[in-house]
Amino acid sequence: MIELENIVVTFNPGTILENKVLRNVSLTVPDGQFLSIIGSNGAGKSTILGAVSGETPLIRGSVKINGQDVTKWPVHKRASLAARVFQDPLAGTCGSLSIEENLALAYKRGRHRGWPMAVNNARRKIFQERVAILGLGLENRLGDSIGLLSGGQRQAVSLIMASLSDSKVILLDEHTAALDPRMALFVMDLTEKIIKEFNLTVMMVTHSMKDALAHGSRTIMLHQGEIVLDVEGEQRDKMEVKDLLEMFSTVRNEELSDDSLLLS
Amino acid sequence: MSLFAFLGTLEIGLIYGLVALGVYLSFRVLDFPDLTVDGTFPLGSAVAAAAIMAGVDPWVATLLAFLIGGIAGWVTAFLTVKCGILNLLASILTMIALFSINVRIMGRPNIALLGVDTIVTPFENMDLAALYMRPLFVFVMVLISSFFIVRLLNSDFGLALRATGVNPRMVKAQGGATNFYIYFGLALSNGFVGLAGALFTQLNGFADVTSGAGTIVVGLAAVILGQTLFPSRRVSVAIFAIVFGSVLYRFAISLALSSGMFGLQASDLNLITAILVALALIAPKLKHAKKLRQAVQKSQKEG
Amino acid sequence: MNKILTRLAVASLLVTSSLLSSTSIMAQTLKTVRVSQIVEHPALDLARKGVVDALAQHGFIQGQNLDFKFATAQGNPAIAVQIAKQYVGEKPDVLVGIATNSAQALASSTHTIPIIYAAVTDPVSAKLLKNPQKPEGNVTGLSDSSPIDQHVAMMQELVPNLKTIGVVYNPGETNSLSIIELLRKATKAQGIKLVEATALKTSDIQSATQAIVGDVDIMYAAIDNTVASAIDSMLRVTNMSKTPVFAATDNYVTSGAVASLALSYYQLGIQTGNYVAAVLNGEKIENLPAKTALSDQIIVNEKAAKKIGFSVPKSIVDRATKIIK
Repeated sequence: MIELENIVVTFNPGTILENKVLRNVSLTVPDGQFLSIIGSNGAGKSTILGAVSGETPLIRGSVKINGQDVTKWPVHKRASLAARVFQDPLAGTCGSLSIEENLALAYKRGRHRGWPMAVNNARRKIFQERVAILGLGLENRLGDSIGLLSGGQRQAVSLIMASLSDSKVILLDEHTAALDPRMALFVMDLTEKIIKEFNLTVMMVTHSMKDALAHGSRTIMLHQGEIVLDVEGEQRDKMEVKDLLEMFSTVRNEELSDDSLLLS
Repeated sequence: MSLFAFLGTLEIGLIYGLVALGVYLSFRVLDFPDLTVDGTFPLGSAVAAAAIMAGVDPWVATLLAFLIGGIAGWVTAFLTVKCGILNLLASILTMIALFSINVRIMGRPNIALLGVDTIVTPFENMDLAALYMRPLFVFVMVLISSFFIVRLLNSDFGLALRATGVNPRMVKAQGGATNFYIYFGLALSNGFVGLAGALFTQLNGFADVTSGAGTIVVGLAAVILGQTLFPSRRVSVAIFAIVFGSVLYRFAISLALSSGMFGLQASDLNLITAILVALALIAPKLKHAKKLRQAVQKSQKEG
Repeated sequence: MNKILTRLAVASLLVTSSLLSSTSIMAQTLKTVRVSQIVEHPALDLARKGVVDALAQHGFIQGQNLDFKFATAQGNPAIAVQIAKQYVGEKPDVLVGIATNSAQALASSTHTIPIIYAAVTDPVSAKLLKNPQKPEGNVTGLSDSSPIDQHVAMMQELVPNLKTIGVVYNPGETNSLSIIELLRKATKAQGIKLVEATALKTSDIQSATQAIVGDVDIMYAAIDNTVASAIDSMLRVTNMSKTPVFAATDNYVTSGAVASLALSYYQLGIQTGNYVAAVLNGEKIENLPAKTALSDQIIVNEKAAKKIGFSVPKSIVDRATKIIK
């Protein structure tokens, strides 16, 4: 479970470039929920993930994961509770290490890293099993450098990595945005598969409204640092992209009419 | 070259093999250009010499040199991680400070250990065998250190250490405390360089504050030379390569010193080192360009 | 596989060629002398020249009955060690170590081959020998320690009512530290103030001199390798401030100091060479007491003195062994 309470994030506070990216946002994601987050650029959707992961400093507010108050925790400590997949496949993996070494790093997320060998036969077996579901033949190439893989393949491995440790929470930051359509589809299917198999709690940021509705059970929309839309259950099941768009422009139009009122 | 000179060159190549290990840890593994070593090598010398002259057991003195060398590395890490000073500059600061500290530790710029009991003394009393025992002794120390580092870098801890030098953001996302790894890596690196200084002093009978200048260059030459000869992603191969590179480098110097050979002199050393390292760095790029050219030619033929 | 073989071939070629690079085959009557120097600069080079000339005076000629080689370590103790290993391995008849680190490296590499050191200021604390009168091991030689008391007296003669002496030195050089300590004692005994400035490398000499030159009556140019390598930059500063410089070695006077009471490094080299020749002729080390080269050369540079408007007292000019006009 993820609980965000009264989150305020401001970039460049006190300067001309001051930007209130998140204005008093509160959000609760119950265990096992697959939440998709949409919004225009600059609306704050990546920042919300940053607030959970710890990469974004908060001006105010608190973050709880699985009941633990992690507001003061550094990024690497929170990683034990929440896994992440970045938008850039290169950012989420170590190019100069082998596939199995990358998996070994993910395998120990949240656990103490000590003297035992990072890659041994027992672990290799586990990695082979997990990687086999990709159907890419990587289980026979675990010793290869991960740099030899394409962006999509690396992203697929990142997903496997995210599911390797005990953490039940996963943060997906536009993780198919940098992939070509075929690969994006493959990765999205894989995402569904993994989330179902491990019963994960998910916060997925996406710029694709289609994906936002097609996957998961709840969708929120951010606009100018606030949650302006929150749909789930039956209401959401009936919605299509055009319905979302309508809602989207309604919000914007209201803003627009305010402006036009001012100007007239 | 006489047997004596051969073994002597081997010996100093192995001592600096420990320096190469240290430079490998900082420069290659952590991607941290660490000039601290120019100060840590004489620091190890100073600590060992001063301790031995004060009556401390040579083995304890050597261990002290390792630990205090580690502290020097810790200081550089602190300046970078906590104070936000650029890694190269932080290491230069520590290195400069160490010069004064080393003089303080020794009380004077030069301490002579000739005739004083050191860790090599038991071997020196073996007469003829001493000739072989000395380099053998250093070899064993380098072997143990190498095995330890290879095993460490292949462990979970070591893997995270390696990844920190490549993609720290990813390591943090995987729960790795990158700051701690930087502290640990630099401390271990400089510990080995301090150990090298302590061995040098005890094997050659003197500690001098000027013995550090150019240590980083020697270490880099060894690492780059070795890894160019034996490129591999495997840690065990890399470690063997850099120690081999260190020994090879010393033989290259011997070559330069045997004046009369191509008219080379000792004063040409720096130029030779620079050319050697530059060649070693350029070689992979030339190889890559050649492969590219071949691929283009091949596709032109087919197309 | 090919690549690995090629690389191993290159590596072994390197090792083999260094193994094969050796000195020429020696005839039985050829005597071998190997000289290891810590760094090249005028004073140490003069000492080496003195060794060569002294050997020639004793009938040892390079190419005829003498195989003489030298190498410099460029200030690097590790290279000094490599030179030592190389030369000791060649089993020469005599080894010569010029300056402390080079001598120490030689002494730790052999306890049998005779070593004559040159220009080591304090051989006892460098642990080269214990008993200067009757050296107990295989090491003896010539020290270049300065007669500091004489120097201070001479400076008092140069500058009447001398109140302050300035000195620049490199605290990283063992020799300099001993000299400075003696200088402190000597000036204190005479009630003269000593102003010190340190320079860790040659490029610091100028700024170190500038820092103190205004506060002193005379500058003392000590026997210090760093000062020796950058004496010109020191003199540039003192010429501008019109401060006279007293030299501890004759080289400095030639460069522009007004006067010196020096040991001549060339003479030191000659004395070292004499010892080398003695050993080559069969003399034992224990019969060659460790000596300090004599300082009896007074050189006056009237040209330099005139340049800064300084007049050297007649009493000194009369005793001068050489006057530069």
